[in-house]
Amino acid sequence: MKSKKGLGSLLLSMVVCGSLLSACGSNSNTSADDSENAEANAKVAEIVFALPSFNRIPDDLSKVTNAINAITTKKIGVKVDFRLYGPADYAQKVNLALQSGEKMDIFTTLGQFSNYVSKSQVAPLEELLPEYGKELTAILEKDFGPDILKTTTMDGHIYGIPVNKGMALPTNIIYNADMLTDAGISADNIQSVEDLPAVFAAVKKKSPDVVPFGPINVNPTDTGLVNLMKGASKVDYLTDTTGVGVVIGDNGKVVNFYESDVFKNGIQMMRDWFNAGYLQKDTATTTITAMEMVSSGRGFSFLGGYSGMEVGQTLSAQAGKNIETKRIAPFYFDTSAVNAVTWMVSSTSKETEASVKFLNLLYTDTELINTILFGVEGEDYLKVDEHHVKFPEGMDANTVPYTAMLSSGIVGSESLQYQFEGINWSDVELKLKENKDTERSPYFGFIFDQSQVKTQMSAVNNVVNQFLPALVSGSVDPETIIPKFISALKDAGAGAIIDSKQKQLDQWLAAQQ
Amino acid sequence: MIAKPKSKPLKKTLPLLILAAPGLLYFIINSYFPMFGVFIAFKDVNYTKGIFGSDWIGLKNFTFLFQTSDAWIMTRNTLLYNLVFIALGTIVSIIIAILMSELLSKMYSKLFMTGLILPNLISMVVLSLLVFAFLNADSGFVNHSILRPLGLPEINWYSEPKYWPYLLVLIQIWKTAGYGSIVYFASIAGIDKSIYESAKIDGAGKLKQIRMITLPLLKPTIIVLVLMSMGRIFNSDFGLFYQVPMNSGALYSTTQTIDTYVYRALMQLNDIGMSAAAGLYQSLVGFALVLTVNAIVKKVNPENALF
Amino acid sequence: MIQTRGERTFTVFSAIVMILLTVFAFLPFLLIVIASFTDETTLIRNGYSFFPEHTSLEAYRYIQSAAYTFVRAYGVSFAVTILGTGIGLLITSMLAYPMSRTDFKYHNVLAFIVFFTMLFSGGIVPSYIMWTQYFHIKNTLWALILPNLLANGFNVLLVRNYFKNNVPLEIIEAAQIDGASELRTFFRIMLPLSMPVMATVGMFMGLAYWNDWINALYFVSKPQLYGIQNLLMQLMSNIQFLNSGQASSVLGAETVQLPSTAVRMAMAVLGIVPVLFVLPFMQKYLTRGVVIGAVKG
Repeated sequence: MKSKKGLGSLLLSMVVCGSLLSACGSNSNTSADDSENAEANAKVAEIVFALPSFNRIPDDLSKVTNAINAITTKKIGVKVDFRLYGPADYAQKVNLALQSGEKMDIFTTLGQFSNYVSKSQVAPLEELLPEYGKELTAILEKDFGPDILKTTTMDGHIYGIPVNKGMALPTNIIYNADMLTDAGISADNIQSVEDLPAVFAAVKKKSPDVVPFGPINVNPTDTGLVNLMKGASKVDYLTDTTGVGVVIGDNGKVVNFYESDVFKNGIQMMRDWFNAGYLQKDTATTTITAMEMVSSGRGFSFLGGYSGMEVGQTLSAQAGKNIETKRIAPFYFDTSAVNAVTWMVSSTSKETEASVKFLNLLYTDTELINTILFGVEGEDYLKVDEHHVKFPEGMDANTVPYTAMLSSGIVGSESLQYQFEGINWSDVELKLKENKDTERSPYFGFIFDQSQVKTQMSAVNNVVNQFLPALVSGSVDPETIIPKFISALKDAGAGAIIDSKQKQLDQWLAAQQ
Repeated sequence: MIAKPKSKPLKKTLPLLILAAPGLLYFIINSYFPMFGVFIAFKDVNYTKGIFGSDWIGLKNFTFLFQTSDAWIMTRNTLLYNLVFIALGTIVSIIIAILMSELLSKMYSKLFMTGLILPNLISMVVLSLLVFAFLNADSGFVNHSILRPLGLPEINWYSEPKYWPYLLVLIQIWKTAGYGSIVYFASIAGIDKSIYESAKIDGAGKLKQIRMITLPLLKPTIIVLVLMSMGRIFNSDFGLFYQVPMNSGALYSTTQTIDTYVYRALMQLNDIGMSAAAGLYQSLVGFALVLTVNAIVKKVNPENALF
Repeated sequence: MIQTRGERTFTVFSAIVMILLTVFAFLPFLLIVIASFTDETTLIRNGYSFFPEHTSLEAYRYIQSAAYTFVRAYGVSFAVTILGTGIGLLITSMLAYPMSRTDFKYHNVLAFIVFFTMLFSGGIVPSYIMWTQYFHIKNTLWALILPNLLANGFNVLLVRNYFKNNVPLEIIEAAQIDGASELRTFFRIMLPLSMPVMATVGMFMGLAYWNDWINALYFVSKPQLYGIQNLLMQLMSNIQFLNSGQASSVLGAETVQLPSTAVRMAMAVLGIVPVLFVLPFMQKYLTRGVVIGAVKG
């Protein structure tokens, strides 16, 4: 019987794979034994610390974990179970751990701080900080200002620590400088957004194949255009991302941003650019980013929020083109601009004390933060001078045993981090200065609790997704679409959100006095 | 014929139950135990209180599904697309299966089979990039290489909802029909060849053989497959309706389904109570439908009922 | 056997239609293959094309630089696919057999129990708790095999349906009169007579395992245990994340260089090609039609 032979070989392959499996199982057993031994050796608190990494995740984290633990056990008596996840995996893995009650002590938000608070997923830290986080509070005050923890305070409880870096991201126009010169225009001619159409027209005339402008991306609310409007017209989004309940200026009145003249004028400007042929027809749906367009020589410019002045250099190296940047609008600090990346301690953590001790070290210890970002000195990086490092000879970010250098903007204090060779150190100082100089919204520190209007928020999110990308890319006629957009938002319950926000804002303002 | 002994039912059922045991155990572990999770749909989840300790909030988690004017559109779209997919998919799959079994002995039949399964192997993310390559307004094939040379007006595909029902049906059939035909193909392969021989002797032509033998013998398979797909009548392939149209807002009137709505609505909120509610709603509708249809089938032809 | 003219016409017609359909199915795949060999700048400037202006091996060179990772991922994918399909096929058919026996008292109850799991699920969180806290499969190869894929209602009902409709009850009864036990009847009579459906379901399961990346996303954080689809999905979703607004608000000046479109296409090709080699072998079993009359005699 032929079929029997088929089954036999199937069974055989199962046995082969079975032995493979048991090998795998025994592996994981030994590592469990290791940690038990370690626990027996020293009585130290153990915490789980999960960091998103935008670099390649190495197969073996044991070396860097040991290096981290050498520092933490010595300085604060805490042992760290260091987890490194890719950006797309991070939220998934952390949320599963939190929801299933697995051990997960310190994690970050990647932008949804108040959601974690309203579901009680994070522990209040205000009682622990004065004792275990003195240095941490001090460095935050030094680098940003005393008001930074207001952005993570709700009802008097401090629920997290924002990353400590250059937070002001003024809107820049990023452009191919060679193309600008070819078109016969000097960079000095670009001072504000009004100067751009003339530049685009000249570039288009000179090289008709080139697309003069592209949005950095069209995902709702974070396009260059929306940030430009926020900065230039002092729009405070009041922490949620929908934009239906904002305050423009300082009148304390919560309004729907999409009904405002600021929005209408901004969209009309983009529509004019689109009609003049400065944007691609598919701008609202394309998957090719503005940066890729510029790198390939097909795109000329895009708008982006960047801190410091050295971005052009980094971007040039990356694109292989001569890229320059020019600031065209200021930045405006609202709460979510600062608490976008916040480190939190899980409400189910049994080691809150150790966690705060670790956070304290994370923000204040040069050795710890640079080990986390760059790995082990001599193996993963070499020091150039006090502030600068480079990769060992013949290695790059993809071949070095460990690096998480791209996470530098989301963890610890930027002022203590090494910079990569070639980056001007004075730029870091400039960023810290701008942290203090940039104008704060009068509602800086207000955090909207969405839990009362969850249903409306979900419906409104959907409507914003539907209309906003096409509007901010100028691909539809604002005269007809904006009214439709507004009425769809009303149907979805925008009114309830505005009312709820206004009520909370009034209470918050009253409590401030 | 074997006599059915009433005295010793255990002796007859026990070996069968033993055979079923590993599979049943797996379903109990993998599906039935976690199924208690549906109660999250009725909870306002609060992690300090724990999932079990959170407050009951009745049907409040369900309201967001009916909150918008889109509620009708997304329900209509989901239903209509699924009906078309089931009907057209079944017909095309059967036709392919019949044609393929006709060519069994040929050298190149292996090529056909591989080719027909191939679309199923391409992930939706990659597929959406391919569709974009065909349809994008500036350099897409259709505009660039077909409409423009012919002097026809170019179409802005990603902002014209009226084309998408056809496009989505075409893509879905392209992706799944070949794969779906395998089941019918296997059923045809299982048909006793001698039946065809005797039909041939009686002078029946190919088409008549298909009508009189193949299709009636495929009927039980068709019924079972259609019944099973009815259970998912309120569900949709997220990749097809979200990634393939590039999440283009202008297309929502013809691309919005319950699944894409739930995804967009909860993207920011990340609320497991509300997503559990959406899933439960979809399952309940499908379940009710299958029970009804199965009851009808059972009445007409008990042999073919699912259970 | 001699074909009549009508039959020959039908065969020719079938061949033509099938050739057209196959071309239709192959073309987009061809486009992926060509895109993976296209120069990145050309891709962005001119879009995808069957006849690219500039070709490039850059994408494959990039992958070659991580050859070890890819070979290991292939190993994981193959092991998981073979093991999962083998065990899954066994328990699926064992469960389907009693369900197909209309003389078995509980056959409909079993069918309902199985069908119910196709519709209702408790969501990922309870299932995650179940598998990680009671079975401790996290970061083991079992995590890629056990959850969700080992058996599903659709396949079980498909096999039951075939058993029920294509293998007459009389054959089973005849065997049992000869003294064969249920086990023997199942392995010696039922399975050999059901090769087409076993091949079909085996193929469905195999493809499901081969294409799966969800289990690894939930249950695995060791790169050593990532299969080939995980490498692809991670790349894709990282690109998606970094292109979204969320990333630009988080990263600010930090810009990230990710593998290009061509690399994505090359990885898609690498995920599909092994399947193309395995599929033709499956056909042998798929078409093993059984002449039941002969068995009866």
